[in-house]
Amino acid sequence: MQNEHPIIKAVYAAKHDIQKMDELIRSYIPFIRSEASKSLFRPCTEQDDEFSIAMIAFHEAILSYEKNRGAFLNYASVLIRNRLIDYQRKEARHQGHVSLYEKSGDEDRSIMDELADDRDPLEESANLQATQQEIAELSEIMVQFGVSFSDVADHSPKQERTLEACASAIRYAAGNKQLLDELLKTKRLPMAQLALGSGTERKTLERHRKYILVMLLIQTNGYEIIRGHLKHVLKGKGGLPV
Amino acid sequence: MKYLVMECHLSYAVVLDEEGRFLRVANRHYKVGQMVTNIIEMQIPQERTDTGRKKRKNWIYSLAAVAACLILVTVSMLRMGQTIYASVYMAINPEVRIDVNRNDVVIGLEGINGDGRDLIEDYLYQKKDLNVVMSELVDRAIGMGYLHEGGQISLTLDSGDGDWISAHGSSLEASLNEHLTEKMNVTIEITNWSSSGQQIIIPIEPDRNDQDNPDQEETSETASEYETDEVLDTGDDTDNPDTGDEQNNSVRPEPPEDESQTSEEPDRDPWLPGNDGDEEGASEGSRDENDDSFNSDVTGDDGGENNGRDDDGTDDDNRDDDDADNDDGNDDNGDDDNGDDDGGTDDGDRNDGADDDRNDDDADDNGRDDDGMGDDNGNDDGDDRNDDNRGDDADDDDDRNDDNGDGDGDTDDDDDADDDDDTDDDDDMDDDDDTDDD
Repeated sequence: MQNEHPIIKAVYAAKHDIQKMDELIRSYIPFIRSEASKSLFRPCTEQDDEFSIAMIAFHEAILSYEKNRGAFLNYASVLIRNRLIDYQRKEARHQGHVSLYEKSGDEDRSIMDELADDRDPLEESANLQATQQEIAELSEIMVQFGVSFSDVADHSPKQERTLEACASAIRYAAGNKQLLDELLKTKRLPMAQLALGSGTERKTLERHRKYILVMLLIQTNGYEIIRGHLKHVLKGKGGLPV
Repeated sequence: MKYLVMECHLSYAVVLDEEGRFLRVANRHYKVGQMVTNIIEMQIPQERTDTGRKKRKNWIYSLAAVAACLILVTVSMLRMGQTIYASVYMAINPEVRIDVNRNDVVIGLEGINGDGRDLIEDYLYQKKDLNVVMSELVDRAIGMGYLHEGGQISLTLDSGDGDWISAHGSSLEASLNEHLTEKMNVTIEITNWSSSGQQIIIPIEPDRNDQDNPDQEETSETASEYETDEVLDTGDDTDNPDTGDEQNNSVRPEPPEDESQTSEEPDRDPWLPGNDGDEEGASEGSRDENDDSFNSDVTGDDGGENNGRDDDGTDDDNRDDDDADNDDGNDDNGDDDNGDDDGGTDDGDRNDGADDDRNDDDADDNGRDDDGMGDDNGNDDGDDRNDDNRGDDADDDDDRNDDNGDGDGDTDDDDDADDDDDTDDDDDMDDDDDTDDD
C-alpha cells in the first residue's frame, strides 16, 4: 500500500509533464505487458498490436485517474483490460477479412500496394521520405509558435459543425496570401480578421486556436503533400481545391 | 478514411485524417509520414469546462421550480382571505349584500338599494365576523327606523358551497333572533340560493302530489307562484297539488336559461343542498316546518328554472309548495325564475340570487312580502316567518323575489301568494290570501 503513494504522486506529476509521463510509462512496461498477457490468455510481446493498445490504455489511465478511484494500478489494469476486450471484439467482427492496407510480408507495404501495383516502389519510397520531410519542417515551425502535434490533437474540433466552421476560416486564409505572410512574419494569429473574413464566430475559432494555427501553417509554402492529403478540407462545399 | 501519421511517441501517435482532424491513436509501430487506415483512438477524458458548466447550472432549474411553487402557494393562501366565498343578502327594506370569505369574515359590503346604501354609510365592516356585522346592521336599521316591531328581515344566501348555505341558513337566523330577542319581534326569512343561481329544485315527481312532502306544498306554492306568473298560478298555488303545478310546468315554456332541468326531477344540481332536493319538494313539505330544508331549495333553485320550475313540476307536486323549493322563491321573478323573472327579480333567475328578489324589496317583502310584515297575510307571515317551514319564510323571500316574479307586480303580494304558497301552502297555499291559509 505504501507503494501507492509514490505512484500516485508520479501519476499526478505526469498528467502535465510529457517527460515525466514517458518516464512513468517506461518504468511500467513490464506491468503493462503482463496485464495484456492476462487479457489475451497468451503471452504478449512488444510487437503485438495488443501491446500498443495496452500502452495507450495505460496512458489514458494516467490522464483520467483521480484519487477517489482507488489504487492506481488496479484502475490502470481495468482500463487496459477493457480496451483489449473492445479491440478483440472489433477484430472478431472482421475475422476473415483482411484489410487491404494491412502490412503484408516483412516490409511495410500493404497488400494493396502489392496487388495492383502500377506504382513505382521507389516512387512510393520517395513519397514517404518527402512526406516525412514536410512534416519535420512543419514541426519545426510549430515549435517557434510553441505548439506541438499533441496539443493540436487535443484542440482539434471533433464535432462536424465546428470542424466545418474552422474549415471555412482556413479556406478563407488559404486564399489570402497576405494574411499568411503576416502570420509567418509576426508569429501571431490574426483571429479577428479570420472571423470577419470567413463569417464564423470568433468564440468558436478561439476555442480551437492551436488547431487553426497549424492548419494555416500548412497553407503556406512547402506543404503540398500534406495539403494534398487534406483535399477534403480544401475542397469545401463543392468548390475546387485551392 | 486514410490517416497521415504526423508524430510518434512511446505510448501513442498523432495522425491527421482527410477531413482535417488530428487524433491521438495507439502507436502500432507507426512511422512518421506513413498512411494508415485502421486506427485505435485514444479516449480522452471530456473537457471539464463543458460538463462543469452544465453541472453548475443544473441546480438553478430546481431552485427556480421550488421558488415558483412557493410563490404560487403563498399567493393563493393570501388570496383566500379575500376571495368571496359566500354572500348574504339582507333585506329589511333597505337591502344590502354582505360578502364573506371562507372563514365567515366580512370582506365586502354593498348597499343594493338606496336605503341599503344609507344603512351602511360610514359603517366599517372590515374583518368583522358575519354575525357581528349582521347584528350591527340590524341595530342600525332599527336605529334609523327601517326596522320596526313586527318587521321582517329577509336573508338570501348565495354561495358556491351548498353545505355552507345549509349550515348558515339556520345559524344566521338563530343568531339574529338571539340578537333581537330582547329588542323586538321580527320575522326572519331565509332564502337560499346556489351559486349557480339556480334554486334548489326539489325533485318531486310530477305525479306525486305533494305527497312527497307536506312541505312540498309550500314549495309548490311557490312554484305555483311561478306558475301563476306564467300561466296559472296566479296565486293559486292551490296547486292543485301537483296537478296544477305539473301542468304548469308543462305549460310553462321553459326559459332557455333554465339550467334547471325543466323536468322536475332532474333538476337536482349536484351541489344543491337540496339534494334532498327532491326532498326539497318533499322536505319542503316538511318545509313548512323546516324551512331550512327549504333553504336548500332556495339555494338550488335559484336557478330559478329549476326551482321555479320544478316547483311546478317537481316541486309542484306541491306545486306551489315546490316553489318553496326555493326555486320559486327565486324564481319568483320569473317563474322560472330565470326565465320569468317576472318582475324582475328573478331576472332570469339567475340573477335571482340577487336580483330580483332582492330588489323585491320592492316592496313587499323583500322578505316581508306583502304584508309587509312578512306575514304575508299577516297571518301567514307569521307563519311563514316562523318559517313555517322556513320555507315560508323563504317563500317570503321568494316571494320577495317573486315579487317580481309572480307578477311581481305585487311584489310580494303575489309573492305572498307565492310565498304563501310556498310555504304557506301549508298555511295557505299562497298566502296570497294572506290569510294564512293555515
